[in-house]
Parts: sequence; structure tokens; C-alpha cells
Amino acid sequence: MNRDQLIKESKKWVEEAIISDAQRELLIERYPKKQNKPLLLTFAAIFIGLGFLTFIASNWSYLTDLGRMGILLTSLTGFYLGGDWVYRKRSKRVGISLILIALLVFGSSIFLIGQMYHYTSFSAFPFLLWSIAGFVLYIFFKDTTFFYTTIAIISAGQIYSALVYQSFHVWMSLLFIAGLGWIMVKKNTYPQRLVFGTGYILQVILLVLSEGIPYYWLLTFFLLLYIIDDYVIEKGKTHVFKTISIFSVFILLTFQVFFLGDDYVGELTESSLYFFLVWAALFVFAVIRSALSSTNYYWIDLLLFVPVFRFGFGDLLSLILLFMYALLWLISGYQQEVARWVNKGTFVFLITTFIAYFQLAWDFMDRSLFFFVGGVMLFALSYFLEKKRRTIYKGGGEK
Amino acid sequence: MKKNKWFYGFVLLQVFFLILMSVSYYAMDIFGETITLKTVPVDPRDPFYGDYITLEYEIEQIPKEKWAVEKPLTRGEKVFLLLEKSESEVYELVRASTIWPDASNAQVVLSSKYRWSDSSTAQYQVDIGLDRFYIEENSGALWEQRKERVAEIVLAPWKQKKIVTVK
Repeated sequence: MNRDQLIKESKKWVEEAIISDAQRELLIERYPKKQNKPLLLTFAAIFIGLGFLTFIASNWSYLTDLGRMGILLTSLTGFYLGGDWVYRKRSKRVGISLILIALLVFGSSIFLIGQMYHYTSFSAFPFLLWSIAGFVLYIFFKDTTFFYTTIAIISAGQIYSALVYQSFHVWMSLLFIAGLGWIMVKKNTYPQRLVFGTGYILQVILLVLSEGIPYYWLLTFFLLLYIIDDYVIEKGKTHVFKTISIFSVFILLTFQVFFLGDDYVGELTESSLYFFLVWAALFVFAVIRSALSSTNYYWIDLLLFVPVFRFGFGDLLSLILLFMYALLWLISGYQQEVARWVNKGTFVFLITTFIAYFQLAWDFMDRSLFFFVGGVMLFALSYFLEKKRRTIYKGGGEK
Repeated sequence: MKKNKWFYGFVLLQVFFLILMSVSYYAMDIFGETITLKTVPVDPRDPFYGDYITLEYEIEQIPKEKWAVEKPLTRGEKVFLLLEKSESEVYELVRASTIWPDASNAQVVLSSKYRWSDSSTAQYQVDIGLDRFYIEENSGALWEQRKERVAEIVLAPWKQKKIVTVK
């Protein structure tokens, strides 16, 4: 039943003395007004803003520097103040969209003015200013739009910093962890956690790549995200950090399977004492936590975080870890009759088989034969696993 | 209403920052110090260079004996160039280092980015970030690039710099 229907119906209920007026109010409150129109209005605002900006862009070269300054400053203040006014007096959504445009104008102004006056920049500092502006807007309006925009700006800035200056911008990552992390913990909605977790993975990968830190440190960063999950996300909610962390470490292991055999990587993995200290501290902590937790099966996840790169046959060990992970989830899934675990195990098992097959057979098998045999193998495997899985579902259904 | 005041302040701050970026460029003419640098011939990489010419400076090519940097650098690291006025009024390189050098009266310090080193000629290449001189549109063809020139540079006390003229 929608709100309008309820309002009509409940009037009768009050007249027939089924419910009281107060109860009616409470019931109606349960069906909040849907906001369809503002979405269209938001798009309208964004389109007008874009139209305005592209108009300026196409006439840009005909303007003098002072004329350009004038346009940038007027549009910046115009969108900010107009947005603020609309936000307070008319529609919150439209106001937010206008202010979002102002934020974008601010960022592009920094770069345009820098270009006009031939600024040389030694770091991604403009992105830091821009992201701070986004963060402050969040504080003012408490609207998640600015949360996501700030994450996007920081991510873009960090990528830019890595590509152009080969360096990691520490202040931007501090704003990410301390500022946005704080918002994320306070608000704690699923999409925010998802975006924040993904942003975190991007940051640590860029940190490792641009600062020349050995790649295996990623393992500790991923493990950290895994552990933090318990503290940030309440029980019963989707453990999105854990999922992201497991997904990332899975990709890392896949890379290890393919590249750890190379001699070059062997040199990279020397002198890793600090890594092992940090890793051991985190790992022991994670093991203790999983031992204390009510579900005794989550230690299987931790298998993936075992560092195997120091061994000469680290690629093989990585593969074994992946297989063990898949099989353990499959087995415990069957034993405990948890369909979700079985699904997870099946999926990982299929992928791992594929990886192993690729790694072992690609070099010495004829290409067409390679794909043909691989296809048949996956068919057989998925048939077998699917059959097993169905029996579980049936078993679960009878219970 | 109190929150609104902060919001206006926040908008004003952004406007001030952008204005500052613009004003500092013009203020350089008043407060800056003008130095003259020699450029070296450049092979024009782009035949359609359009509205700017590419410049490279003599001081950007640093011979080994003036390279006072201990450790190997990675591309993009900051290098400070200590320059001194020669008798011909052109500033020449005294020393390049990664720590800010003390400059005497006739000396100035320029910051640059490390680019690469060539072990066969024992030279280090840095970039002072003034490699483009913007000229009137489409007069680029009149500028012969394979020629030594002198460029007048303004250095602001707040470490900003710009090219004034190229002769």
C-alpha cells in the first residue's frame, strides 16, 4: 500500500473507530513521501550547469585573462550562493546539485587559473585543496553526495600524483582515512562502506606502486582492512570490508601464481623483516579474534593472508593456498549445510582451477587444445559441483 | 544562521584563493627579481607548435662537478640550483643540491625537478618548469628554435617565477 492509499483508507478506519487519530498518524509516518521529482530536478540543475560550463569552454580562447577570472569567480560564487538559497528555501536536492557544480567549478578553476598563469606544480596539491573543499561541504550540509565526491577527488588526485610525480600524496590519504573514515564510521551505510573500502584498496595499491614499497606489504594493508571490519561494522550487517579485503588478497595471490616464479620478483622479496613483524602482529591478532568469535569458520579466510613469497616455489604455494581456501569452504559448507559457503567455495574452486590450468598448461600446450580441454574440464567440474550443491539445497529444504 | 555565516566565509575563502593565484602573477612584476638566463637550441619536437615556443636553459644541463647531490635521485625530485651573476649579466650555475643553499647578494636560488642523467657525458638534466614561452598565436613559424637566446625571468620572493621576454 502506498502513502496516498493509506491516507484515504485510514480515514475510514478512524471513522469506524478501528484505530485512533494518533495511531493513524503513526501509520502514515511509516510510509514516507517518495521523492521522485527532485531526481529530475537534480538532472536539470546539472545539465544547466554543464551547458553553462561548456559554453564558457568553447569561448575560452577569445577571452582575456581578467575576463576569464571574472567568469570563473562569478560562476563560483553564483552557484554557491544560489545553491545555498535553493537549499534553504526550495528544494534540498536541487540546492545540493547546484553546490556540487560550484565545487566542480572551484576545482577546475584552480587548474584553469594555474594554466593561465603558467603555474608549475611539484605535487598534487591542487587536488588536496579541492578535496578539502568537498569535505568541508559535507560538514556543512551532511549530504552523502559530498562524501562520494570527495572520495572521487582524492582518488583522482592520488592517481594523478602517482602518474605525474611518481609519489604518494600523504595529506590527501590522511584526509581520506581520518576525515572520510570518520564520516563513514558515524553514518555507516552500506554504499558508503563499499565506496570507502574500495577507495582504501586503491590508496594502498598506489602507495605501494609509487613509493617503491615491496608489493607484499599489500598483504598487511588488506589484512588490516579485514580486521577493522569487526570494529566498524555491526553484527548482522554485510561485512563489506571483509569481502573487499578477501577479494583483493585473492587477486594478489593470483598475481603471485603467475609472477612469483620470475627471478626479478625473487630479488624484490629480500629484506622483509619489518614486514614479518607487522604481519605477525596483525595475523596473531586476527587469529585470536577468529578463535574467540562465535562462528568458528572464519579462520579459513585468514589462510589467504599467509605470506608465501619468501619460498622459491611461492607460486605453487600461492596456488595451494587458493585451493585449500576453496576446499575448506566447500567442506565446511557441506558439513554445516550453509549454502552461501558452498557457493563461495564452488566459485573460488572453479576460478582457481582455471588459474592453475592456465599457469601450468599455457606454455607447452597447443592453444586450441588448451582452450578445448580447459572448457571440457570446467564443464565436468561445474556439473559435479552443481549436483553436489543441489543436494545441499534439497537437504536444507527438507529441514 | 550561524552555520550560514561559516558557509559564506568558506565561499569567500575559495574566491580569495583563486584571486591570490591571479594577483601573485601580476605582483611578481613589482616585488620580483629579474634575472637573465641563457637558453640552448632545442629541436622542435612538434612542428605545429602554435602559440608557444619550447625553451631549454643552459643551467638545466648540469655537469658532474657542479652536481652536489650524494644519493641517486628519482625522476621528479626537487633540486635547488644556486645561480650567480656573471660579468655578462647572465646568471650561471654555481652548484646544484637537494638542500636549500645559502645565497649571497649576487646569487639566487631556483628550484627544479630532476629529470635524468647521462653517464656517457657525465651530465644531469633538471627541469626548472619554464619550458614554454607563450607568444602571439600562429607567429611560432617566425621563431627559429635552433638558436641560442637569452630569456628574462622574474623570481618572486614567494618562489614563483615567470618568463618576461625572450630575445
